[in-house]
Amino acid sequence: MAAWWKSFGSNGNGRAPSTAAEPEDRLVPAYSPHFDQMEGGRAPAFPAPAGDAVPDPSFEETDAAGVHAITKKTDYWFEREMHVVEREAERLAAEWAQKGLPRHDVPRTEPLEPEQVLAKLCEKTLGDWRQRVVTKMRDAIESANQQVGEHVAALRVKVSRLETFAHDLADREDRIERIKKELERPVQPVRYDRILPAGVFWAGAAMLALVEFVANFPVFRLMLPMNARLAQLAGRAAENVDDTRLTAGPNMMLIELSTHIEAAVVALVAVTILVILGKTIGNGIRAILALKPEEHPLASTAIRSSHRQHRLLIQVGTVGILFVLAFLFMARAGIGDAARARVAATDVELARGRAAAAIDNRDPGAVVQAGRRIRDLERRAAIQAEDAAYATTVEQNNVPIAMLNFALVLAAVVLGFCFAKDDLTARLGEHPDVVKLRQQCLDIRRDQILVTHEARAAAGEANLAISTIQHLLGARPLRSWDGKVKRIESVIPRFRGENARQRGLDPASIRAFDAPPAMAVPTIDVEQQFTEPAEFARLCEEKRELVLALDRLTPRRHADADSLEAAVA
Amino acid sequence: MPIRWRQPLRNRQLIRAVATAASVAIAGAGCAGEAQVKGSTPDARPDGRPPTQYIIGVDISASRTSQELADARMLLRTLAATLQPGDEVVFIETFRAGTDQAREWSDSLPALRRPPNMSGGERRQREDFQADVKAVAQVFVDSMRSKSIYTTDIVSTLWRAADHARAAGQRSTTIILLSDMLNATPELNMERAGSLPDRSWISSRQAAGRVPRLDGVCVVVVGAELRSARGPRVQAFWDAYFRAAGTELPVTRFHSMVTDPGELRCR
Repeated sequence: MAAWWKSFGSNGNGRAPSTAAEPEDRLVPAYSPHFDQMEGGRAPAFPAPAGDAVPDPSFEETDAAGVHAITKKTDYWFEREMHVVEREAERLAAEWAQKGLPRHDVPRTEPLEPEQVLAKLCEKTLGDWRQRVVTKMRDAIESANQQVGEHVAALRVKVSRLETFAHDLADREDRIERIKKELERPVQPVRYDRILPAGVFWAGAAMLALVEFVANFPVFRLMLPMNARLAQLAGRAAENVDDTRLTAGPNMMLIELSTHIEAAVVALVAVTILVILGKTIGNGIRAILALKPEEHPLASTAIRSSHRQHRLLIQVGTVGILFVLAFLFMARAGIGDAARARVAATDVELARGRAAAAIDNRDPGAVVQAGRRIRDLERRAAIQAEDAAYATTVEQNNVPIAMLNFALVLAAVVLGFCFAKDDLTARLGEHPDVVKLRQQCLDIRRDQILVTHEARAAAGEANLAISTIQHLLGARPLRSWDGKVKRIESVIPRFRGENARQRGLDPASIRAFDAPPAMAVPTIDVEQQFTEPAEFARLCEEKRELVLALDRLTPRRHADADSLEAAVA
Repeated sequence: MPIRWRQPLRNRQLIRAVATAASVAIAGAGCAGEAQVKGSTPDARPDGRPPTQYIIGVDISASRTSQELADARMLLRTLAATLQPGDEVVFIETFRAGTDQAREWSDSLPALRRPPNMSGGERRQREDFQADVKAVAQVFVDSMRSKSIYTTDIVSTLWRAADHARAAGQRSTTIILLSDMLNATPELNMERAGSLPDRSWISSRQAAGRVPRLDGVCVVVVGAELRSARGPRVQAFWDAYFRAAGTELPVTRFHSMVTDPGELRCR
């Protein structure tokens, strides 16, 4: 007997009682026609016929709140346990029936052993069901209470942030008002004037250009020789200059300029670039030094824009000047070789001419021709020798000349600096701090709306959890106990009926079944109430106060509220 | 506060007045220069001498000594140094008997574009011209060639000179005969004793139109032989000949040697 009891275990099938939360322990009879449809021992998602597998409520909505969610699971559990008990009853009935027990003609005063077992199982099952319902209810209440606490805490944090936002917003709006009041005072003009008058500037610029041109033109004249025809033209023009007059020098200069066109153009371009870029750099430096955004906050945007543009011009101008000065330096470094090469070539030609003239020649015409050629070559050699000497001098003084060029550039920069002027008074804008503060206010309002939404959501969740608790507190989930009792009371009759059926007898004809089933159904207090969680009242009160504070801190309707709300949505 | 230059109204007026005065002064100097140029004589030359055509007859026959030839070269170099813009030089090697060819060379120097001012180019041209003349003189007065020349046809040379003189244009012509004036051709050989023709010879040739026209031409002889008794007779003959030709050859222009180019003019 003892061994037989042991084989049953606590529910009569050798296994521990299973729960709905442990799908792997759910019991489904292997003979159930639905067994093959299950995966991993889980019942199919349709209600099984009576006597077969119990539908698993886990396939239904798991987030169902309220008492129903709890009772559904406990009912499932009860049905499953009762199903096991009933199957055990049938098995015991069949086993006894095979042995022809109980004897049909022998009355029993004591309950049959299987009936005792079944009664105990039923009692335990019912007691466990009740305990499960109560526990689940309490757990649900506690869980809802925890949610209330969480949501109230979240609401508290949001309200605190809203208070901070309100404080920051008020502070920034105060600062905006203070700045606006300060700006109501008369505004100083944002400008700077020329230091030099136009006449001085233009005279200085012209003189600079002239000096640069005069200094650089001879270099290019040596570097860029004329073609033969132009050289002849230049020679004839120079010969026709009356060298007894004071204007002979300027005339010669003009002839040289007009015949050495390439050198004149290159020198002019170099000069123009240096003077113009120098002036531009001077302009830019003046613009950057004369006006500072910190000193004129209202024009800070215009001043920064002006600085950006002038900074670019300064950079480009500096690069251009450096290139031109480098070009001039390299040009001067190379003219000596060219000039000396020309002198050497002319010397060779002259030696050849003299050798030809030394040949005794009786022809007067040939003698005259040879003589003229030699004289021309000698004159050319003399000019080229002077040019070579000049080029050598320039080469040897390349660095000082470069420094002079740089000094002339600095003079152009100074001229540009002194001649610059600008007036940005008409381009005053808003105080940059006001712009910054206004943007910060906008950001704060945007955050306010977001946080307000979150706070409202938290308040809503808290309300939901409170309602859940209140609903659970008012629920009477044990009211369905009578159905359960009837179910458990049907186990022993099932045993008896199955036993009789197996034996082909009428249960009423079996004397051992005369006594009514002995089952002590425990008393259940269907009106049992659940206690309110300890912190529940406090949380409700805190939530109420926080909602009031939230209403107070909800931002006023603002001009940007619609766009902000739309952006947040 | 930026520095401001404030020019009172009177300062600006002063600057304008100074600028205007400077402009007027510069323009006036230019105009004065122009006036100086415009007021000068178009033909005025640095030395005051009018443009001259020098026709130089060079006699390098064997009768001329090497010293005489050297003196002639020296004279020509000195003469070349006096040449001025507008002058023309014609070298004619004296003709020889039996041939109607003689070496010639001629060249001229252009007149000044803006007399009397000479530009640098004009000065260079003058230097070149003078150097050319000196070089050509070296070629013409060649001692080496004189050893092989035995005849001298001065009459034909004068005909060629007359041809050049006709083309002198605005220039005055001076014929410089670097010769001993001893014509040595079969027709007229003055080197033989007693062969100097008389005036009838000149008259007959003049009547036949065989005397060249040298009207207005100044003739100077350098290198004549004056030490002997023949010298004056030779001078007289040529004086008569040149008179028939429309000019003259007085004793004052019949030289043995000349060192000053100033003596090569007809006063």
